[in-house]
Amino acid sequence: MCRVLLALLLVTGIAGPLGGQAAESREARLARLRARYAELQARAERQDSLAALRLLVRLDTLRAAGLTVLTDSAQAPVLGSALAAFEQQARAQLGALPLDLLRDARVIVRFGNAGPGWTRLITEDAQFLQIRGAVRGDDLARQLRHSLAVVLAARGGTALQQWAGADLRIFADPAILLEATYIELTTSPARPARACLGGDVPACAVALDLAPLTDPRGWYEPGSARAVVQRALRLQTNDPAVAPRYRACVEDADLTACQSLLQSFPVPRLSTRAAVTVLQRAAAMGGNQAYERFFADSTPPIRARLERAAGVPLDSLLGEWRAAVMAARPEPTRVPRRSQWTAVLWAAVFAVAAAGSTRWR
Amino acid sequence: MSHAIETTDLHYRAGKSFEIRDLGLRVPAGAIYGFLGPNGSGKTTTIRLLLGLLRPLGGTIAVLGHTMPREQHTVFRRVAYVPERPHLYASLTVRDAMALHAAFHPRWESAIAQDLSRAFELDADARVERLSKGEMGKLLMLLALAQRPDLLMLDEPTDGLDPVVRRDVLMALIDYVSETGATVFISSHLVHELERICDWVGVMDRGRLVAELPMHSFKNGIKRLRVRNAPVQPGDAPFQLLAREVGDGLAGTEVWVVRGWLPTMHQYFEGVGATLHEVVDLDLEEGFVELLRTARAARR
Amino acid sequence: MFAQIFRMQGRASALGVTLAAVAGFMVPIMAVQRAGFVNPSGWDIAEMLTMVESAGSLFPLLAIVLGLLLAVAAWSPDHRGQHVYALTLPIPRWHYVVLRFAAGTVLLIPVIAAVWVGGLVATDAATIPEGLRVYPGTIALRFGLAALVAYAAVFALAAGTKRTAAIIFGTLVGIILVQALLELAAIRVDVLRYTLLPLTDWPGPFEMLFGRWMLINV
Repeated sequence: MCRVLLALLLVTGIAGPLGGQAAESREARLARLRARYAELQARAERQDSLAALRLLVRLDTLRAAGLTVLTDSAQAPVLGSALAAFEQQARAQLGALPLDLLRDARVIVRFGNAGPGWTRLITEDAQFLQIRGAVRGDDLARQLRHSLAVVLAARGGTALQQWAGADLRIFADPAILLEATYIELTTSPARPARACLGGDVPACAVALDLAPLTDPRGWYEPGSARAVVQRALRLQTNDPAVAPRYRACVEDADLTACQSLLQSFPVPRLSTRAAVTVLQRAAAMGGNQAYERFFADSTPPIRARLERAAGVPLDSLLGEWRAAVMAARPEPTRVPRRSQWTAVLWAAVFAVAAAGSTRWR
Repeated sequence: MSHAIETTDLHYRAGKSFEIRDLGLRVPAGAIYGFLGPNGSGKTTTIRLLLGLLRPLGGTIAVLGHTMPREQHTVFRRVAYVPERPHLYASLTVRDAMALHAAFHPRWESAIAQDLSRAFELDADARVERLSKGEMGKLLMLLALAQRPDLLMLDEPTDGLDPVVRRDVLMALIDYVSETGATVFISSHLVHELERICDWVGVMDRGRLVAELPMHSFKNGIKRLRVRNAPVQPGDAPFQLLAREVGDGLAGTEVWVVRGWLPTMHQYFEGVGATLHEVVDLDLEEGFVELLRTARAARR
Repeated sequence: MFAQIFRMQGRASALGVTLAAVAGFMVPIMAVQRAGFVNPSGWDIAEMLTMVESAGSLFPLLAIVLGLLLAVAAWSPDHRGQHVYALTLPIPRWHYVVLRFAAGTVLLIPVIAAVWVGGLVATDAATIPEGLRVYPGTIALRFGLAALVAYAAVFALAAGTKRTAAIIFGTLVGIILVQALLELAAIRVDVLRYTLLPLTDWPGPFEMLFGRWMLINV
């Protein structure tokens, strides 16, 4: 009797949660199985294509910075030094690489004109580099860095691609990106961006689409809303779907009309370029394994991943980021001294030419 | 005698048809040198060559002892030029033109300029482009004289001017020359005008210097002779036979134009069995015409 | 001598210089007003800066026109008189040319000053949003140098003979024709890049005339 009761208890104890979990895990398991099937099928297709190509061309497989690089054997020696430079640069800029994420990531490098065997290797998951003409090591290294970034973006989750762009310019010079971000911040008509410029760090999170907009006044000041609508829709004043609201917004300063038009506009967040500068700042703050931590798990929201990468709360990260952006303010517009002297010199040259002109008429 | 202007074998060509060749001018210092020639003979071109406004192909030019065109700006401190076509800046007023000229010429005499301006009755506020031909002629002469030059180069300065203006201009010129002893090089095709003021004459024709001699020799030396039974060949005549043609009137009569005639030379005709009927003085203009005719005939 | 030449040239170009000065004064004011920096109702700063940049393209145009005007005013009296008066002055030709050039250069000053004052007035009256700066002095300096180079280039051209001008223009036209012919023949050689474009980049003579003329910028 006790054994039966125990067995009953066991069964209900296990079956209950299992039954409850079953409904949930069935969906998840189904999704996982489907994804796994697609992955295996793609791998099989690739294997087939690779096998087919290997019949036509001798392929060499090289590895660098977590990527698998395929090229025809005759060109492998050419790639060697470029791959070494690429690996060194990648590790220098990214620190520890998220190798798990990069597993099976392939870059196919073809020199000259691609044949049909090669083009079959191009899949969503593989990067294809076509090199024509003379090979330049630094150019190849740059293309490989780009490929690595694209792979990281593709595998880093849809949210990352939407936030920081499918090309994920993490290898771009931070100074250049920060300067462009400064200009963007300064010229943005959106309320959060202007507040961020003024020092409101939580507003920076909203401007960067890392936090939702809670300000009931919306994305724009009334005047800016009008100005944005006027600029964007001034050529559509004949469109009957737009015209009445346009007139109400621009001519009558009807904010409701402006906001209804603006609803169809993309959210005026800062660009993917600005987002990359945040990721670069987080990596700088988080040390050698920052990127590895960031890419370790793509399911949490971006803000959480950034905090994990940087090792500090988001507000601290954004405070540092804002300071870096303000420090990247472009130099005041000047006429360079060399240009001044050159202009004066040329004027003198022309004057001398005139003085030496012939007197015979 | 020193020369204010001296050229040697001056050579210049303009286009295919016009050429100045082997020009050897000698303008004595202190002379009023009349530069005669028909239209298109090269007078203006010669003056422009002398002033360094045209580049010669060969030969040498010396003006007031300076080589032209190399020392042009040095020469122009002492030379005044009145061109055939007015060269002043059209938008200036008379006053401005005088001020501009004064700024560049170190010897400029303001008092003389003012006197001449009053004498010529020029309106100081009139714009140069609005001046009449006569007023322009007077202004150009004023600028030249107030500059106090040692040499005046005048290219047809009275051309197109009425007699009153012409007289005023020439009088001012003569006053200046008699006061300073400056050299004047004046070109004109108005022969009778030059006859009154020049003491030297040079004659240009088709790019060649046909004659260059003192005015009195030019005027006195050329005569028209009416000769009967003239010899076929003049032989050893003491004068220069410039031209001969059949005369009208008595049969067997010829008209001779001669140069270098003296009254005692009638004996020559007696010696050759001819009869000299008449000796006619030629004025400068007739002499000039005969000279040109002779020169052209010789070239043919 | 210089005083007389300057007076003469100044009178000849008085109207043009006055008009250019008025234009130079008004362009910055107009640029700032049109862009909406005066009495702004809202900030669309990117658009406003685009309008400032677009109005700024009037500055190099004004510099070229001014340079052309002054150079022509310097030489047209001599051209009309076949240079006879100038060549019969008791100074070397190079001295005369320098006097002419200097007179024209001085006549640039009122227009440059007008651009500078116009920029100061325009930016003073404007509400400049945070993050932006104003550059009236830079614009005036750049305008001055651009006008100087434009004036000097046209001055040198006008000082030459017709033959010289014809050679220069002929060369420019020839380069453009060669480029057109190469493109027609589908030959990919960028002749302009190697001949004319270096003139517009440092250290070329016309660098000042190109680029963005931003009275207000980040």
